[in-house]
Amino acid sequence: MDPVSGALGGAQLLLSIQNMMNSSSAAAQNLQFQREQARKQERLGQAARTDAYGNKQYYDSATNTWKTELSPMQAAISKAGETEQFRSLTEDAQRNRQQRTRQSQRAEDAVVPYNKAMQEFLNNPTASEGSIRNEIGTLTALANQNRDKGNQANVIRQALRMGKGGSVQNIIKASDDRSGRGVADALLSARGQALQERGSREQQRQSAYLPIIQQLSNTIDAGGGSAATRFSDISSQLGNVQNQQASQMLSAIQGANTNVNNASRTAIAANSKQPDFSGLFKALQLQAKVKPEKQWDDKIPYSTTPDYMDNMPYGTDRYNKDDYLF
Amino acid sequence: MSAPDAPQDNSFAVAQLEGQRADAARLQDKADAETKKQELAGLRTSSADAARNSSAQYFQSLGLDPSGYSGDIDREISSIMSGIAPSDENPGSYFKSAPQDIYGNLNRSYQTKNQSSVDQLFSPNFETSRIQMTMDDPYINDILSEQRMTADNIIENMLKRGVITGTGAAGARGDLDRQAPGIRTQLNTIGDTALAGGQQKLRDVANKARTDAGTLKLGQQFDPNSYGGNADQVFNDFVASLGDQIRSNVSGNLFQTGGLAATAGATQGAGNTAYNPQAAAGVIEDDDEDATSNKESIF
Repeated sequence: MDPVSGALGGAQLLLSIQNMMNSSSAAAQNLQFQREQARKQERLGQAARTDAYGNKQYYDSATNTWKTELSPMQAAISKAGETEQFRSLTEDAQRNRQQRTRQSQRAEDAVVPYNKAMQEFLNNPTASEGSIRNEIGTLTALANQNRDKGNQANVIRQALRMGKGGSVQNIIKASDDRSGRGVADALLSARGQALQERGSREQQRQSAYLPIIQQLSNTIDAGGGSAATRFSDISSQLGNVQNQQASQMLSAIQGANTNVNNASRTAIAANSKQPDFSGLFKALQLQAKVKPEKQWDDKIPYSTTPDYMDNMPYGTDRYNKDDYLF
Repeated sequence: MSAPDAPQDNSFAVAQLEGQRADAARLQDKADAETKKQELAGLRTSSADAARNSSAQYFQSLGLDPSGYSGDIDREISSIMSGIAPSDENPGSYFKSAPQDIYGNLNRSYQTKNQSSVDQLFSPNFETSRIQMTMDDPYINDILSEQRMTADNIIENMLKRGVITGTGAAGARGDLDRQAPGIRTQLNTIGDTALAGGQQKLRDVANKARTDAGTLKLGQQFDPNSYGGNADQVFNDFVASLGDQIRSNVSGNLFQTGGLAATAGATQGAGNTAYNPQAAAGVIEDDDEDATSNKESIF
C-alpha cells in the first residue's frame, strides 16, 4: 500500500468513527431529555388539584396515598351531609319501616271491605229494563186511573148538581174510554223512561261502588313490599374519585414510560452500533487500484491451463518436471 | 471416602398423611353439615309449632274454636313447610303471616263452597225458567175477553134498542175485530213487563244469596236453602198477584167504542130509528122514561 492510499483510508475510518460518536451522543441527549419530560409528566400527574371551592386533592408519595383537604366551608357542608345521612339511615329508615308496617296493617284490614264491596257490586247489577218499565208502567197507570176517576167524579157531581143524573152512565163511559186510550201512551212513555232510568241507576251504582273499590284496592296494593332501603353512597363516591385519580396517574406514568423507553432504545441502538468501516474499505479499494508487481505467471493465459506445466520455468531448483509427471 | 447416602424417600408417608388429613377434614365437614342440617330441621319444626300455636290464638281472637280447624291449620302449615328449603337459615320468616294466611285461605274456601251451593240452587237463567214468558197468557186472554164482551154489549144494546140493524151490528163487530190485535199487543206488553218485574225479584233473591255467600266469615252459619225458600215465596206471591198486577195496568176501555154507532150506521145505510144515547152508553135495561130522557142527553 502506498502511503497516500493508506492515509486516505485512515481518514475515512476516522470520519466514520466520528459520525458514529456524534449519533450516539444525540441519542443519549434525547434519552436524557425524555427522562426529564417523564419526570415532569409524573410530577404533573401527581400534582395537587384545587377546585373552585378551595378543596385540594394531592398525592402523598411518602404514604403513597391520595389525600383530600376540604375548605372549611366545604368541610362543614360535608360534615352536615354526613350527619343528615347518618340520621337518614338511623331515624328516617326506622320511621319509614314503621310507616310501612302500618300501611301493611291497613292493607290487611282493607281486604274484607274490599271483598264485600266487590261482591255487592258484582252481584247487584242494575235491574233489567223490563222490570223498571213494569215499575214505571204500573205507577203511571195507577196515577192515570186516579186522575181519571177524580175527573169522572167531578163531572158526575157537576151533572148531578145540574139535575142531569141520567147522564152519569154516559160520563162513566166517556171517562173509561179516555183511560183506555191512555194505556198505549203510558206504555210508550214507560219504555222511554225505563231506558233513562236504567242508565241513571247503572251510573249511580258505579258511582257508589267503583270509587271505594278503587280506593280499597289502592290501599291493599300499597301494603305490599318493604320499606325503601337507604344505603350510604360514600363508598361509591370515594371509589369514583380514587379510580379517576388512579387512572390519571397511571396514564401519566404510562406516557412517560413510553417516551423514555423509546429514547432508551434509540440510545442503546446508537451505542451498540459497529464502527463504520466503509471509509476504510473505500480506501482499500482505492489502494487496490494501484498496479501490483508482476508475478511469475502473469503471462500464462488462464484458458490454457492444460499447458500450464509446459510453460513452467524448468530447470530450476524448486521445480523438476519429471517429479510431477505421472 | 464413600458418597453420602441418598435422602430417605418419605413422599409416600407424606402423601398418606395428607390423604388422612383430607379424609378427616371431609368427615368433619360431613359431620358439621349433618349437625347443621339437624339444627335447621329442628328450627323448621319449632317454627311450625310456633306458627301452629299463634294460629290457634289468632282463631281464638276471632271468636272461633281452634280445635274445629286444627286439621285445616295443620294442612296449611305442612304446605308451608314443604316449600321451605332444608338449607334455609330462617324458616320462621315463612310462618310470619301464617295465622292470617291460614284464616284467609279457610275463609275463602268457605265462601267459595257456599257460593257453589248458591250457584247450584240458582242455576243461570233460573228466573226465566221459573217465570216463563207465557205465564201471563191466561190473564191476558181473560182481560181481552172481558174488554171485548163490554164492547160487544154496546153493540147488542144498540141493536136491541133498534139504533142499528143486524148489518150495522156486524159492521161494528168487524171494527172491534180490527182493534183486537192492537189490544192484545198492548196487553202482552203489559204482561211482559209484569213478568220481567217478577223475574227481577227472583234475581234479587239469588244475588242477595251470592253476595251473602261471598262475604261470609268463617264460623258464620249459611243455609242456601233458606234463600231457596225465599225465592219460592217470592214466586208464589208473584203468581198470586200477577192477574191483579196486569189488570192494574189496564184501565178503562181498551176497545174504542165511541165510533161504533157511526161504523154500524155506515155499514147498514140510512135508517129511521132515532138515536138513543143510553144504548151508546151501554145501558141494557130499557125503561119507560127513555122517550123523555133523550131530551137531556149531553151528547
